[in-house]
Amino acid sequence: MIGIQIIAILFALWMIYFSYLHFRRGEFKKIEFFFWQILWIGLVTVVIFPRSVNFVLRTFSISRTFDLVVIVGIIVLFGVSFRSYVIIKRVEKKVENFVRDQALEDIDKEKTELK
Amino acid sequence: MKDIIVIPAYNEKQRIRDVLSKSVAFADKIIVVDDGSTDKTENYAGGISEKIIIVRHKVNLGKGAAMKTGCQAALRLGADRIILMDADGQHQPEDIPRFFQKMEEGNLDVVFGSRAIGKNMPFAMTIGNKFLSAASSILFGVYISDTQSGFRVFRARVYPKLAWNSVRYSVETEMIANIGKYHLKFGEIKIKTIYHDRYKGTTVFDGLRIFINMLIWKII
Repeated sequence: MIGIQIIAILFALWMIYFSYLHFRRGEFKKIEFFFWQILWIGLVTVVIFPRSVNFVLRTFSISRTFDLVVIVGIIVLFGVSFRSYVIIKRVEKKVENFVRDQALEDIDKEKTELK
Repeated sequence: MKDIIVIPAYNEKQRIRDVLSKSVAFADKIIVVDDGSTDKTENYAGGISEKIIIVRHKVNLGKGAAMKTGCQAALRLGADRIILMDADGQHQPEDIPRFFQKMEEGNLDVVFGSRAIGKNMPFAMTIGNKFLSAASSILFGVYISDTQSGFRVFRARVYPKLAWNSVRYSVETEMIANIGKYHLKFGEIKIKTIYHDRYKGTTVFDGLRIFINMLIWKII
C-alpha cells in the first residue's frame, strides 16, 4: 500500500466519524447520513481494492482508478457547491423577508394609531 | 395626491438630519429606512418632524432591500407618488416639484433625476455610467443618461411592475430593466449633485456586477 492510499483511507475514516457526529447531533437527516457514509465507504473500498471498479473503468473508457476517483470527486464537488448555493440563496431570502416584516411592524402600528 | 419620500440610510448620522430638514417641506411623509446602521443613524433622524417615520432593519441588507422596505411601507401608508432619495445629501429636495411637473405634464409613470455626466462626477463613474446607459438602451430599449442616480419618482400604482429583487446596488438598473419589460412611460430631468463621499457608492466591481445582472435580466 502506498502513502497516498494510507492518507486517503485515514481521511475517509475521519470523514465517516465526522458524518456520524453530525448525525448524532441531529444536524444530518438519516438520508444525508447514509449518502455521506456510502460515499466515504465507497472511497475506502476503491482505495483498498482498486480493481473492484475495473468494470466501471472499461465501461467509461477510463484508464486508471485514480482518474475515476478524481472524476467522481469533481462531480460530487459540483453537486455539493450547487446545493450550498441554493441553500445560501434561500436563507438570504428568508433573512431579508424576516428583517423586512419586523421593520414594517412599526408601520402597521402607525396605521392603527392613525385610525 | 399623497407623496411619500423613501430614504434608505446606512451609517449616515452626519448628514441625515440636514437631508430630512430640507426634505420635509416637499412631501406628506418621509420614510427613513435605517439599514442596520451601527452609528445610531436612527437617533439622528428622529425628532425633526412628525412627518418622518423611521423603520429599522435589524441587520444590514443593502440599499435595494432598504428601498423595497421603504416602498412597501409607503404603499401601506397610501402613497400615490413615491420619491426615492439618497441619505448622503447628494440630492437636492428642491428638485422634487420639477419631478412632479415632468410626471404630470407627460402623464409619466417614472421620472429619473439625471446628474450631469462628466460635470463634477468622478472619472471612473462617468465612464461606467455612459457604458451602462448604452447597455440599458441596447438591452431594454430604455435610454437614461444616468442609470445609477438614486433620485427618482414613480407612481405607487406601478410599483408591482417596477419591484426589484436586487438587494444591493443593482437595484437602480433592475428598475430600468423592468420599465423596458413592462413598457412603462418614463422621463428624466437634470438634477444638481454634490459628491460628499469619494469612496461611497458604486465601485468598478459593482459596475461589472450590474452589467452581468443586466445580461441575466435580459435572458430571463
